[in-house]
Amino acid sequence: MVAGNETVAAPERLHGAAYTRPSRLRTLLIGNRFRTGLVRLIVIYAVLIFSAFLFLLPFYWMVNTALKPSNQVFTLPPTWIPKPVMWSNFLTAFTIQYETDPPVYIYARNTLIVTVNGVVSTIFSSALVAYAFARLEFPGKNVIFLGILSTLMIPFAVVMVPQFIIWGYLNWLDTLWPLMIPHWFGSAWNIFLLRQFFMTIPREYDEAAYLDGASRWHIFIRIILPLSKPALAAVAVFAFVFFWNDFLGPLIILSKPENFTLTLFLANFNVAYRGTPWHLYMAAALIIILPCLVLFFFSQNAFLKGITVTDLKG
Amino acid sequence: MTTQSDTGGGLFAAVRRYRQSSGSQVSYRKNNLLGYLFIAPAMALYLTFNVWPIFRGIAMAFTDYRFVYPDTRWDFNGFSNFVKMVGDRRALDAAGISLKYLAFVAPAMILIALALAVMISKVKRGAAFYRWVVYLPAVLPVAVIFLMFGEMYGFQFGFINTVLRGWGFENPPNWLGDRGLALPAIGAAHIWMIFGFPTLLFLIGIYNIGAEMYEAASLDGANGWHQFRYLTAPLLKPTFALIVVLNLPLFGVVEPMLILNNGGPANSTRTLGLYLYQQAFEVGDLRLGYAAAISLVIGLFSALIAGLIFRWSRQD
Repeated sequence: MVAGNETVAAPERLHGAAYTRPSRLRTLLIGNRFRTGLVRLIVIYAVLIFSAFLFLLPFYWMVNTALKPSNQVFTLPPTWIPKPVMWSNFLTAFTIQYETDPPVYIYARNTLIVTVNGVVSTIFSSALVAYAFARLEFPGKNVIFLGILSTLMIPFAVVMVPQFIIWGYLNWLDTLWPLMIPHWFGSAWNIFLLRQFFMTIPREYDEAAYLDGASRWHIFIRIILPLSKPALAAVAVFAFVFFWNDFLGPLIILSKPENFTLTLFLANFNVAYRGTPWHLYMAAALIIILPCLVLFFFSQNAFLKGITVTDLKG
Repeated sequence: MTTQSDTGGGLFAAVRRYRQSSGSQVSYRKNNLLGYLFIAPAMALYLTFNVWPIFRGIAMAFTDYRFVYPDTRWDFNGFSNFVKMVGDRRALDAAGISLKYLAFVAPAMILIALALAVMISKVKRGAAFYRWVVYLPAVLPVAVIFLMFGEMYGFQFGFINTVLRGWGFENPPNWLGDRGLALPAIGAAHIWMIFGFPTLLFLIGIYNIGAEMYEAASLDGANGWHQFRYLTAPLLKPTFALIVVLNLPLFGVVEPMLILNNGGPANSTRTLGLYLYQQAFEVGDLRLGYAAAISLVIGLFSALIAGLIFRWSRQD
């Protein structure tokens, strides 16, 4: 309130005599229309911190178990901080080998093959298909797009059996092919995601390039893709996490241990060791999830910029 | 995005002139079957591995195909699989359990996600860390998560029960061994696993609404609840619909039960998806025909819900 400025009515005059001006302290604590009050902020932070603690508890338990010596895993009361800290569990988990099972690096290699293929194929194919749906016109476009979207909500259980039969026909059972070839279609979710993002890129860019004589392919490669880096990064992370973690697919298809992926190795841990050595199991699990954790931590911004949800309409 | 074209300088001006001189945009936009060329390779795979299995599954649902007897592949038996299902106590129980699971897990997860997203959007410091925390479980392999929870829920030595005993509860519940508790316990673990992504989607939705909108609402005197009710909620409708559709596969859920206790105790967590899995891959002669009939029911139910959600999201 500028003193002496008669044209601005003081709040006292507007609201009548009963109005008392909120004190600074009150504004600070309760807040007003323009700022969140301190009390509210403290409540929000309290809830967030408490729930973060709750969400992280299973992780804490994992790390705690992974670092215990084997004779302390089930002591009562449970030890909150392992003593001594057994860093060697990480090594042991990956070097002990059960009877005729292959060494762990075989599983890691299989997972790596499937994941690298999955990420490359998903990015390439999804982007290509998404570009067609975002920018090109062709008869039946909307119907095809809706058809692809509808596979988003079909549970895997539905196509599990017929797909299994196809793998049988193709003699692909117990090989990695079923985990690799079909994904060159891309994936419905990622196609949807990229199409949404491409549609936010102004068409003028395309048209300017077109005037300069660029072909559709060049527009796609030189203009759309470079402008879509956040979305492509988000898709890459989705694909990486999906293929790295895929469990039911490998479970149905693979039966020989030398074809197993890391997730199957983990699921079989208790079978192989006749009762699970939890400290080793958790150590193995922690190492296996590490790439996903690191990847996600560094790709957060891509997620926030790359995902655009506007409408489900085709 | 019009602002960009207005300030775009010479290049965009050239495009506009070109549009005017050629009378329309047709010469640029006119197409051509190029689109087919872009999607053709992907579509070939899609038809082979996604569309064909659906039709093959529909056909198979009307046969008595057992995998160990390949000759039964085309033994059509009309609707007898479906008749059998109606009389199959285990299938009906499993369907009930699946419905209960979907009706409990999906709304609870969406509510948690929405509440967290609204709260995270209000804070600046620590938001990045919190987004990471929330999404952490989503990057873990299902096998790890459920084996871990299996241990944490353990009756004698499990983490939860040891903590409870430490707090003075003498008889903590047998989480996975109790018929009434097993399904909610699995559901809670499942929610922990999947709530991160919806939270991120809601959060992105709220960030996209933008501070100006909220400021404008404040100037009009809208308080926190009003802002949520009349600004946030309506604008998050597409996000909400997307999240529901993305989580419909919960109805056909298999993995948590398969890993944790294979449908036990006393089949109280045997969902329809797990029953289908057992019929197809575990029961003696691998009854693919019957399993396909079950999967058709799951698919039709999911399509029905999705259709309703879709219609609702288009209403204003």
